[in-house]
Amino acid sequence: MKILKLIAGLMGISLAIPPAGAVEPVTSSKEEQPAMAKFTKEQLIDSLKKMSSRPQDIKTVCAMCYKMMIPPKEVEYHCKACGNVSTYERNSDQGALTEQLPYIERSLATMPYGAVVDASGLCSKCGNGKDKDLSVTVSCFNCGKKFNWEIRNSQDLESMYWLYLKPPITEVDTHYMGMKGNGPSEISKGAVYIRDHVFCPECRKKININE
Amino acid sequence: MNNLLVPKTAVFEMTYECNHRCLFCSVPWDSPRGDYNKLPELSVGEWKDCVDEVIGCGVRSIAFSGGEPLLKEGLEEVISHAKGKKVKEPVFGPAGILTHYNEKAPDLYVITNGELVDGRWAGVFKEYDCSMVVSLPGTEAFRELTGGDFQKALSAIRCLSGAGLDVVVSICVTKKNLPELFETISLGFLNGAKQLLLNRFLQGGRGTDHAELCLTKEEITRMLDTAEEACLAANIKGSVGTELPKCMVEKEYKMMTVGTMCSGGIDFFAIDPSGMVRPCNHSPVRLGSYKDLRSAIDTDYWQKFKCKDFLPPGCADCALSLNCDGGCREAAHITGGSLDSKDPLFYCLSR
Repeated sequence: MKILKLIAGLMGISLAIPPAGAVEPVTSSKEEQPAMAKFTKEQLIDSLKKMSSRPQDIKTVCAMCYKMMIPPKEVEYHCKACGNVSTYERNSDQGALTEQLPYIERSLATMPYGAVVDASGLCSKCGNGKDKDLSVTVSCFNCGKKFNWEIRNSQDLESMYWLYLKPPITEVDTHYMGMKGNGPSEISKGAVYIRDHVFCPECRKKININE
Repeated sequence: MNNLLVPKTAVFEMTYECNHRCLFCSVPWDSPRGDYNKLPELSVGEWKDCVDEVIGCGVRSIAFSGGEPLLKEGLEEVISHAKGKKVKEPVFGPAGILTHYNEKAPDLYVITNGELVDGRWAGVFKEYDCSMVVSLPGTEAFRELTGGDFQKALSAIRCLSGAGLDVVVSICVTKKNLPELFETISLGFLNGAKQLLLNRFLQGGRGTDHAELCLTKEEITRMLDTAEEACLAANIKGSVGTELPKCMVEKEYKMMTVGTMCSGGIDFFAIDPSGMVRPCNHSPVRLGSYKDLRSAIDTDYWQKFKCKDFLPPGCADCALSLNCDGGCREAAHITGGSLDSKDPLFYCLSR
């Protein structure tokens, strides 16, 4: 896992400043490295603009729908820093975050944004006074500057599916996205979500995506 | 710092012995590969010590399995000893915050093929408030699949439910018994089972060489549809114990809960008849003695389960992997050679 994170981190740095003229997608071999296909910031920005301004052009598909397994009663968070164990009801927001934490770390490590998850808010010792959520630090896909966002509850977890979209984005599988609706307005919201979670506040203004 | 939290449920595989010869059985000591040597079984005294050890580490539930647990001489003594212990159960306040712990006896489960169940055993299980899981893998196909007697399994369900015990009917679904699944589930319910546990056949143990029993994606859908229909008719809930790749679950079910996230090594673990621990009952990998449970959990192998660090490379950029482990990792290990191999279901697709 550490190696995966390191690779993803390195990818994030190199992709934040792509070589001049790099416009074609570069796919990594899945045999060598289980990571998402590489893409440039230009490709991503183009896709987001299209999603935002002409969401009706993005095809929506829904191959299946599913229901989460009924979770057991409790979940325990083991703090990697101090070793303390915090117990949450699995049906609570903190319980969902604790249960999903290994999946979130695993998923973000495959994405080219150099993401690091701080789960210390879930520790009843280290996180005393902090919000009981997950703080994610990513490197801006445009300028490389680090910025943060939070995962607070199940809705935030579902929204993370948007981060899997790879440009050029021509269709959105609404099953993956856990959407209530699947119309153009959802697509536009998705564009804003990706923008706000991949680009720093300064670069978001430059990208100029319609809300 | 590794996560050394002990899963809340321990599966005690009480004995290697069994009076069935199920083609689908996944216990590693019956693998045709012969690479799981049978170390001497724990004595009753050692199993009691094992109870003390695991409860001391935080285990709250024990499932007695095997082999066939009723063949283990002294099973009742071990159950009685376990029921006499006290465990802490968390109580939560608003917003899911822990408020305090209540003391209670551990939850006990017995997983049996029902062959030896009689009124005396039913009384024992009732006395110690055990929940029962009875295997009923088919009707016509029962004998071919197990070597046992279908009527005995059915009468065991009747006997146990008649004694006031909660009975789960457990069905390992294979290509051979899928056509009679509705009838099998219905008979389980009609004889008193109050819940359904489905397991799709996965290679492992004696089943390692029985790839022909594996279900295809279409058959998985048929299995779930059939189970849903039976559960709806009986208004009884069911679940699939062996996690499926999420991309293979095409529908939403009202009565059936379909797991896609592996809970091996996190919510439960197994202890084999010699006292060696494994992160999952399907796993052929022994990681140490129950006497040193935390060292076993501290191994790289177990930590792969804790950290979910075993996703097949082909699943890495799938959005569903936020809630999916790509199927059963140990079955993938057995058929593909490593924990991050493809689930056997994908080989069925390509066949």
